[in-house]
Amino acid sequence: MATREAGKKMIMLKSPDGMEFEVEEAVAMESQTIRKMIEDDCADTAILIPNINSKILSRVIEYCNKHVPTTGATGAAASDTVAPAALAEDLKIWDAEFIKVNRATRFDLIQAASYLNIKGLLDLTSQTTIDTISDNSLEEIRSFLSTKNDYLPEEEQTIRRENQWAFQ
Amino acid sequence: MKCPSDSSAGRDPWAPPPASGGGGSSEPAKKRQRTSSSSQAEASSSSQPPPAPPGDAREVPDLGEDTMFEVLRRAEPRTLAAAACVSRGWRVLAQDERLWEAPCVREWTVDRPRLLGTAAPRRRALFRRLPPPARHLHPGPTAVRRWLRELARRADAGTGEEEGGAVDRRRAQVVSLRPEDVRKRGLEENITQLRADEDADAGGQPRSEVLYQAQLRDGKEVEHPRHHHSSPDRRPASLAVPVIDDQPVQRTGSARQRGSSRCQPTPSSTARRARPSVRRTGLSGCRTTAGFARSRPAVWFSTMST
Repeated sequence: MATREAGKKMIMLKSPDGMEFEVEEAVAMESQTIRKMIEDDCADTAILIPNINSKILSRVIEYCNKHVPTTGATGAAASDTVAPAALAEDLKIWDAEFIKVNRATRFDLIQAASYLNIKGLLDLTSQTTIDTISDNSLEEIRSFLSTKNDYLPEEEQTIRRENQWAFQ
Repeated sequence: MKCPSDSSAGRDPWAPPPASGGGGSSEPAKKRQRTSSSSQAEASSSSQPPPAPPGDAREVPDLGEDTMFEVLRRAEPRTLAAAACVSRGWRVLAQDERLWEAPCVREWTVDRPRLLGTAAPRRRALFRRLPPPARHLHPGPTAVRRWLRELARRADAGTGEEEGGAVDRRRAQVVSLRPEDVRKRGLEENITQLRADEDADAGGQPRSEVLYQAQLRDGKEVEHPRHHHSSPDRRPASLAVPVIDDQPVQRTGSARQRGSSRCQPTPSSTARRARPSVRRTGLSGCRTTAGFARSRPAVWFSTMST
């Protein structure tokens, strides 16, 4: 139900496990997918977000909530006499804190960000994952990605040699 | 902001359930080792991730190739190369040309001065010796990979170490030259590189010519791609349609119009038209008779001999 509350339009988001989240339209619009739905007037009732459970969805909404004022209401930020640089710095610290989650949650967040098309969140989560991959040894990467090494020994030798520069 | 991710709460119903203790005994050990030594974000998180159960392996497929592609799009080449070593599936994923194109355009050549400034000395020396393919020519990802391989080879050989000051200064100049000079020099360098590079060949034509014909024509005479150097067709028009087994073979292109009056579309001739290679294989004997047959269509010699 899209209700009007004190001039702010609210959007109801529903997760498949039955939880409902009421968020401001501006916050929901952070997601390009939901923005499209709203613009196409598909959002008059609650929007069901398939395959994102309430746990992850609440995290995503948390992220959107934090990020909406900087992108949405720059005028307000300027009138607050808070330097944009400091604000961005703040946000960065918040992001770093936000992404300190375990691997499963992070992967779920990536998936949710990708489905909901939230660029900032996708950038954040992907970058963290990339950093993890680039900072660790091959064995550690494998266990991080829970991937089995299915190379034959000689095959692996070859590809390791080919990509040796990546491990220097 | 509190981080509410403890091991059990972090999981969701459709993620693989933590069937702890099952299956591989080495998995949890490996996992713990990783978290203890691994990077900032993970290590400092409130609690350790659950010991990786065997079912955990489904997590990456769950992430989906498309999503993983999204993630890898942000990766540096070094990370991509590392990812390629993980497993076969990852190799396929990480060697996607599109993934290599982006960082190539994004970083190496745009930020070449920066790269030269910040890279480790040894690496920096290598970079100077072997500059990355020039960006404005849109070097293909394959070219970039070759460049990296060459870089690695030199690193192994240790040739980057002894580096003359002269080379240094020259490279420094390249960066500080006027843009048009840089472009010109880069163009020449890159064309030589591309000419020597088999992989850079785009559909029979060197890439540079394909992409930048106008630029090249600008200053000097264009050297034509290889296949244009072959001698022009000197066949007389009367023999344009070769005859095989006493039946004219219909050829594609202009030859078809020339020969159309003589050509009755019999079943066999239409079949030949559909698969031109039949013609060649059927006449392989003719090809061997003439030493120079390789440069001419085999059909032509068959008509000469009959």
